[in-house]
Amino acid sequence: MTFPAVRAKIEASSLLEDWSERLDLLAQQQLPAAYAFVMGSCAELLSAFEIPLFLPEINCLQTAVNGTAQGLLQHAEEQGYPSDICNYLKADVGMHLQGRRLPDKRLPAPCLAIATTACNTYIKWAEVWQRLYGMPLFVFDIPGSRNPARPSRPGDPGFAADLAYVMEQVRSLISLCERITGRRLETDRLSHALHCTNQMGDAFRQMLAMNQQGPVCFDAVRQGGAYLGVFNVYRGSEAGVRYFRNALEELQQIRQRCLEEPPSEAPFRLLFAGLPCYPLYSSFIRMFSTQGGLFVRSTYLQFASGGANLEYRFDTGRPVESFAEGLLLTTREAMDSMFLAGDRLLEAQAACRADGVVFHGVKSCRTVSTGLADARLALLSRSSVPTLLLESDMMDRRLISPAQMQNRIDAFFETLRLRRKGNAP
Amino acid sequence: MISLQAPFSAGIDVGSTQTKAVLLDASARLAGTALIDTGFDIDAAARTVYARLLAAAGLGADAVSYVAGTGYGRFRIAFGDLQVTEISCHARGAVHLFPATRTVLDMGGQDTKAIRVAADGGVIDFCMNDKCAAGTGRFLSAAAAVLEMPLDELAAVAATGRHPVTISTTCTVFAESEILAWVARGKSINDILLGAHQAIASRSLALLKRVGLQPAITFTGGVSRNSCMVAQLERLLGSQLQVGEQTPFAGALGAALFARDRLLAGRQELQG
Repeated sequence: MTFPAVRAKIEASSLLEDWSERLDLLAQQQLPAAYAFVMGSCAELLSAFEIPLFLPEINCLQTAVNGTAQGLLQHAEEQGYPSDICNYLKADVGMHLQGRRLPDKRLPAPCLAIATTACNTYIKWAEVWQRLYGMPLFVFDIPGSRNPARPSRPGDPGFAADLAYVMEQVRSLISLCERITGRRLETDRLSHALHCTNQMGDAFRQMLAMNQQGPVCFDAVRQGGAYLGVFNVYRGSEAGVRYFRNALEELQQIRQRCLEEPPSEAPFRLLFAGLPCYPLYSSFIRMFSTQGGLFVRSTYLQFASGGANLEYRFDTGRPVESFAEGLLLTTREAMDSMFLAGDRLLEAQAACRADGVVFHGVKSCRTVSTGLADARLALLSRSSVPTLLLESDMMDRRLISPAQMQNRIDAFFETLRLRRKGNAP
Repeated sequence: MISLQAPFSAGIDVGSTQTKAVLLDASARLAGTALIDTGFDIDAAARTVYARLLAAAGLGADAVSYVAGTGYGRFRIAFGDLQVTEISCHARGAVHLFPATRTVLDMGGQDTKAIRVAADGGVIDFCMNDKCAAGTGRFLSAAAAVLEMPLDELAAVAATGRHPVTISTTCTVFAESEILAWVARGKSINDILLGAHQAIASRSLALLKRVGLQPAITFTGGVSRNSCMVAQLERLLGSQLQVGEQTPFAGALGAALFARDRLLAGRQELQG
């Protein structure tokens, strides 16, 4: 392959390891952290109050990748949690039921939980923590798009009403954080965090654009996962800015090399829709890459990047208002990406000149999988691009059949090769 | 009688239940077919079916220039030159048998596939049952085993059912329990079997819809021999299926066609 993108991957591992160690240290000192979901995490606001942030979804996917998830799922099921619910939730519950201990780390207890209405499971999940720890739970009610073809924008009357509604909620969260920490919000700190996120977003968008038209500079599932991890965990921080500055520079170098020495055979440019298969992360990606397929773009980089793919930049001169505006736009974008993906996929496929679209439905997430089925049918009705539908899970090995998955992938590549060559596979 | 012409190409479909083989001549005319139960020894099944195919055609192995394998056991065909997935092969085979085909329903022992195809037999889209065997031939085998009935008699008995029971489970193993429960409640075997056929037909329809069902629809795979299943599918679809004597061999036929493509491509290369 033409893009090792090694440095950014190593740096991402190292940064995420540092995050784990800091959480472990907090747990050792019996200090708490805020628990929040990736979409609408309020990272900048929490950092302004110096409240440490724990992202349970990322912790859960790490347990899937490192193979410890199965025991956690089993533990939760033994307590009566059913087999067909969100496995992120169930692994997290398993982890709490065994004392917030994993083989290599401990996790702090929550002092506050923040969820949004982007996913109903988030709310029920956060209620589990509330029941276990009795800490405050704050749920943002984010208005969704009423007109999928033309979502309201800043300046529209409808948007102003939505923003006022979210702004009121942000003020309530600020008051809550002030009560928890015993200090007033320092707007300068919030401005600085928003400035950092702006810089991270600028770099991230350039990285995404690089893959779109030219040679494939990074695999949107493999390297994309590393970028996402850092974006969410280090959102609003100097460390995050440094990481994305380096990652962009590395990709620029890779792009230059690809332009100077193009590969002998162009890869199949693939668009990925859905959540990655974390329990088989490397082998899942290898099933495609060994057949010459590279994921040039992934919808996951849209709905799980906290809106980093959007052109929105925070106005650091009016940090609280801009934070509320960003929260509304980015969380709404995540919801639209999942529920209104049909048109977007068609546009994305054309924009990144994808040879095929891979849909990966995860059995334990209705939110993602339901929208996926609709998006696939919408795409099929309007495009002749080959698609592949895979069904497995993002956490539970028991829901994944690698041999059957490989067979479907083989058939997909036979179709792609037939189309490219116009003869037999 | 048409005289067959060398070179020959063969396709071998090693399925979970049966292994099928098809031989084509230089003009893609059918030169022979063979079918055996797969059993546990995949290598032996492939060798045996190939030997029977050659014997039926009265040919030696040296007459066959290219052999393609398909089906779940395709990688175990030691004498094969090429492996192609059963998805591509059933699409190709179905369009070869019925050129108007735009959707293929392949129902085999462990998989049911809905495939949308182009006029040239290329796959546009496909969906398969995932992991579990509900809605496949295995589901019928399980029903036959529970009711202690030979598989061949299943369709005829089911066709006489008048008040089909509802088999609602999504799992073949649970379906066995559900069938036993209906037996215990006094339902006739005919009605239970008709219910089982309807359950599978209904699941297949859902798969077909997932690929954006387009006429004409060709029914392939081993279960396409089952007349009751054909009738139930046609009832749900409200249209006729394309099905025939060769449709159980569609996978092997497709493989033989891919083998023939390679053979012709090789000859063209040799001819400069």
